Amino acid sequence: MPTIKDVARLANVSTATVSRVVNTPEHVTLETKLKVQQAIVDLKYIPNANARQLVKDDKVMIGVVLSELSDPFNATIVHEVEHFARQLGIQVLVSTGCSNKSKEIQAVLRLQADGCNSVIIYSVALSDLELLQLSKEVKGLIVLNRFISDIASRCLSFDNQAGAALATEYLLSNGHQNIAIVSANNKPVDAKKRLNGIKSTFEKHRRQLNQTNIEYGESNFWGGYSCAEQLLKKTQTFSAVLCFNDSMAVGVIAKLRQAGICIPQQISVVGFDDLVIAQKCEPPLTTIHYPVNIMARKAVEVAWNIISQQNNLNESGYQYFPVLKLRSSTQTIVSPHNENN
Amino acid sequence: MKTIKDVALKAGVSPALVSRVLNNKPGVSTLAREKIQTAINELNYYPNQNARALNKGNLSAIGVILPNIITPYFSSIVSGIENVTSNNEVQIVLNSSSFDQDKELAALNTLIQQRYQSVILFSTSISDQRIVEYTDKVPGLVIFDRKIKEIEQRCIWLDDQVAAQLMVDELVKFQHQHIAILDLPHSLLHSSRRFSYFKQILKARGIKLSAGLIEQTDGTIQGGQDAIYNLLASGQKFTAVICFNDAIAYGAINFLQKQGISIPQEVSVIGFNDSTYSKMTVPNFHTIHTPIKKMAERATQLAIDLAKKPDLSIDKNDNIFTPHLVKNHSMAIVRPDAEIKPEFYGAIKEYQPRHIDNDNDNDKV
Repeated sequence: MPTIKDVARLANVSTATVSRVVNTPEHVTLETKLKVQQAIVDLKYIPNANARQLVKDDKVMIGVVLSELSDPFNATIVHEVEHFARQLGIQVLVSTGCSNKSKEIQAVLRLQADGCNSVIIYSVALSDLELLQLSKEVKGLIVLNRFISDIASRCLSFDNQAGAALATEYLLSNGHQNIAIVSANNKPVDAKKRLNGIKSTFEKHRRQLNQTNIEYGESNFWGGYSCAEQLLKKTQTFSAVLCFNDSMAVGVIAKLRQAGICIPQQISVVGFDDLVIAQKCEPPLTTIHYPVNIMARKAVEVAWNIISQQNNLNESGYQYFPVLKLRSSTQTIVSPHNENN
Repeated sequence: MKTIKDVALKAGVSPALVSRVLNNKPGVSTLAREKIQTAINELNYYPNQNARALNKGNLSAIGVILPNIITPYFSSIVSGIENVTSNNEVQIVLNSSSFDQDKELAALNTLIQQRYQSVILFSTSISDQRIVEYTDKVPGLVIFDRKIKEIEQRCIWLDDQVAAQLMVDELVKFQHQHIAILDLPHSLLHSSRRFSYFKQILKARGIKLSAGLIEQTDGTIQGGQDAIYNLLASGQKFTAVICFNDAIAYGAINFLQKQGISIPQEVSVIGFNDSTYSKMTVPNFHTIHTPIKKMAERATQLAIDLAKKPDLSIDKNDNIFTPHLVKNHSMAIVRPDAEIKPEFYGAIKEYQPRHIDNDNDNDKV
């Protein structure tokens, strides 16, 4: 367990200086403060005596609460959180809220009762207000995928709407006139944001988003597969399918290829998330990159910060933005109109 | 973790008084209540529901220890567990152990400390003996995909011998003599079991297995690609490829098709697990259906039942699950004169198999 002396030695200052940085930082020059804070982070020193005792006596544990554990996106969150927690020697317990309000709350409370000093939740069912209330009971609550202003410093959010807008913009700007949408019926919060992104981009291009071009299914391979089956029955042809996530996109591609359709030559397919499968599937999937690994690392850092009572979180929270990953499942449509340009 | 005793000590009162405050019972002076509340805040104490259930133990939750939940095999296990627990109002608390014995043991100890009565364990490294010892501490301990003779009634496992038989029967049916094998890492218990049954049964049917046609992979899509590349580059003849999981098969088939080799006309392929990968190729590939989800459902129900009634009588035949063959379209009889054409070797020389990166185990098993 690092002591104040270790920090002082590493930062090349006196222990009194370290103490000042921790307790009365306004009396210390910026240069010194930064030096000492870096040493504190590097050594994982815990300034607060109570928190130190906690770490000394018990294994530090953080909890993670997700909707379905069998969902590949959720499994990726768990994988990444564990990866970073392992580096800090933190044990991770995972539970599920089954996409149900009271079960999500119960899961968080149970993990806290089991000894988790902090709980990270990716809620599907609870409203922002309900999460805010929960955060009062659970001091170490960290919220993924929401921005709740009263507890901003514990929120990590990803701009789902912008992500969907980016994907739509790419298709519309590359000659795709008829776009089919495959959306999720079991992820209401995320699906709504992504659909909003699609709608707003259509409006920007002065196009109408036709409800009949949207198919709904579960946010997994078979959900995508059956949506593609429905799309094939329609009389309306389309040149691209924009999917809620990679898992559904992979299902869509499987069905389309089964039906003898070449991807991307005949139909382009776009996913969302950029999970490992997006790189490894055939053809590799154009998708929106969701920086799960970076967010997981930050969530674990925030948890550690709360547990060790360092209290230097970013007051405005942590926001992450989408990037379009272009791969081989899409192509530009060259229409006579485009050629004349 | 802080207990009532710690709070009592800090507040300078008896644990009984602290308990009254926590349960909102009368008979506590304002001063004492304040002291206790201050102590609770300073120690960051929260009531431990589990400790309260000390006599009965923790019945409303099930502890699960799996290496990960990201690969299709373990994802199916979790799915099966979720099917049963969501109906039963039982909560899942999951520990990922990354195939590390120390983590598995640490997880078990945490669950025991929290008095979990039902636990599902997947471990390839903890010894039989040690697991048997743990059954004393956890009445509802159930072992997944591993058979431990002494506690067979608590073990849910797949009949790998039947699986191997199905694969060999299919190879014989389509008259394959030159068989390539893309195997899983042998650190996985079930993989070495599966492979040794397979070798035995092949031998019994008089089919020779060439050592040069056996490639060990890391169980991923990339691993399948690299392995089939090695085989093609070696110039050896093969007409069928046995893959011990679907991810490997997916990688192998994509690579073969990119080289212009047709499945099944030139090479037949069988995968394992019947996961979504088998539906992602054209044609869909033959695979062995392993009822992992059903096994997990059975394991969960058993873990819950055993916790309630430790002396439950169990027919251990209910714990054995039988795989079956999924006949897609990747098996065919290869013409006697057919051989993978040498001009492909030039094309594949451009391909660089990647170095094994241990962190990238996202699609193993």
